[in-house]
Amino acid sequence: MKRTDCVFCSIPFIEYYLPAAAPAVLKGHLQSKGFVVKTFDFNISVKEKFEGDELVMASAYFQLNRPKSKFHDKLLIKIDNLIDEWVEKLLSVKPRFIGISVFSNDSRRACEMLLDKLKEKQHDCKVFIGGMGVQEEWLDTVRDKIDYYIMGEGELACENLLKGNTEFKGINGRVDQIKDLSSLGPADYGDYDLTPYETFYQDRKVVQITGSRGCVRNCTFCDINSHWPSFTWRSSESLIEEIRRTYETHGISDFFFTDSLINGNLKVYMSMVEGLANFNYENKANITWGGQYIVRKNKNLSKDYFSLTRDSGAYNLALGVESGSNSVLEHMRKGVTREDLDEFIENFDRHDITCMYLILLGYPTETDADFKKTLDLFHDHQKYVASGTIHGTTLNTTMAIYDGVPLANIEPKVFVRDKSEDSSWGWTSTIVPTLDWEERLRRRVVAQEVCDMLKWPTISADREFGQLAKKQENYALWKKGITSTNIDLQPDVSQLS
Amino acid sequence: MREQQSIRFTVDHLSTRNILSIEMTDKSSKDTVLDDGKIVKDKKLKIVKLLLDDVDIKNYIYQGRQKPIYHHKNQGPKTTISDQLFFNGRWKLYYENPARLFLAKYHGRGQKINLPEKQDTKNRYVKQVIASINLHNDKQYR
Repeated sequence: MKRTDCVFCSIPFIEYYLPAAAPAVLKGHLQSKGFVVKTFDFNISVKEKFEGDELVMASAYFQLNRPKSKFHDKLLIKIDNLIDEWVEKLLSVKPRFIGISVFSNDSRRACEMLLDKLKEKQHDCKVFIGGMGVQEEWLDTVRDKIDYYIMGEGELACENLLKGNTEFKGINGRVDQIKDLSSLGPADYGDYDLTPYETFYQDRKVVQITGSRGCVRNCTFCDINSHWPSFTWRSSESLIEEIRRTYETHGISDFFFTDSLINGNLKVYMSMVEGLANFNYENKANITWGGQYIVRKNKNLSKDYFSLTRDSGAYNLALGVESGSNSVLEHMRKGVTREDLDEFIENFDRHDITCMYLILLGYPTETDADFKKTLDLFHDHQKYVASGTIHGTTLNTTMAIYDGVPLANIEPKVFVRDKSEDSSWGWTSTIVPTLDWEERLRRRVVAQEVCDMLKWPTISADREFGQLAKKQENYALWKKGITSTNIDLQPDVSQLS
Repeated sequence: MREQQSIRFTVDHLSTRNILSIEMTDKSSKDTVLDDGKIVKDKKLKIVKLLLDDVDIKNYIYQGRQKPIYHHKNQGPKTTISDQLFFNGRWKLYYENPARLFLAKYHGRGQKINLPEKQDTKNRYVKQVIASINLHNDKQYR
């Protein structure tokens, strides 16, 4: 059997809606350079193995990222067996290189476990890791089990690694951002079975596509700009060409953008939606596309903005709404207000453009009154759920503050971390002293009850509450002083206002 | 009714199950003028926009049904689904009060995220979280 140049795998936890893009993106580019590449989506194997009652806890196991969390022995044995299966699959294709895609902090636990298992096995493969979850503060945990790591965009670094140019900038360091996205080979999802994913699109095959990297905004809670300091984008012509080719060769008409935001560059965006709308008119193709989207001020939009967005096939756009409070939005640097959102969603409703809301509860400056404004938003915009314009909302697992987000470095500090097991979650606001983990959890429950009452569908609420329940279990143990981490019960209160 | 008109009305009787009816009356075969087999003039009623409790029911509208009273036997299907009435007869649309909640439920019914087993799982963990908050706090959640 001929050796595979490289095998890439994605690992849990990532939501189960679509296959992870990174392995397919890297495979596509490396194949365009003549390498033989294979990909595995091990994230979805968790869903396949634990579908049913165990899935929520199996997902939480990987997501919690803390070995002290207690889980049933039966579950732990099954997880251990699953990782053995991953190792077998990786080695079965006889790769020269094994690349593990660490999508976020939520994938670190799986990565550590997989690396441990690989270390136990006899093989001569070089192992490397990459992805947004690979950050300096975590690298020491895994450094002795890997040969290389890549921080930032992987295409050119992987290409050079496979060519043996290990001195290339970005191998064992941070890569320079790729400026010309159009020069990269197209993604290849050929190794994936698309059926197990929890897609919104019933019985339809969805292909992912990348139009841009980075973001035009610099929200305080988001670390995108630390990974992609510049906002780069592909030309609308190359995007339309990729969509047209996929449609004509595979008959696939549903696309999902992996971008942090689709409408970041208005000029390119308008050119793209106009081109896709024309393609739909001329070919009756019914192309649809979705992905993350930002609310924009109406005054900045052309008169055709909404009609072309509709006619190009926009579907279930994920709007980063975050909060119903203008003061919270301002501190977040969202660049829009509640009134802008009102106008934007009204236009969506008028033009039959569907969407969902991404909400972030428990931001450090969120007072009780601010929180109530978010609840008011659910009441006020319920009519758009009733009209079918809003498909639902993700309420998430409340505000976590990771080291890489701008908020972590803003002075004066608006939060202090406590000494519970995971201080990304365990922190108290210095602006709203009552806003600690338990208060955020309480607000998450209240928001859920309001959404349930108003029939707002809440996406992933089952898994989110499974994870929250586990976190709360750990937090309560710490608070009671049972665990050894109980050095200080409360944060340093001297900074609280 | 002539040309485009807006009608706004309030229903005082707030029973749960309701039928909204729109009826076409007084159309005769003389209202349809043919020229060489093609309709050159006709009378029809088109529902341009329908709002229930201020909600534009542009998608739900196609749940409405009409049993047209045709001019001739076997002129068309027994029941039609359309936002246009070309023949006499009542177009009926079922809805429940409160309308907004009913419509939201209608739109969410096909989503995988709303499957009963997912709801059950979520509710089980919500209860667990509330119990834990209450156990470890003086201030009770409820």
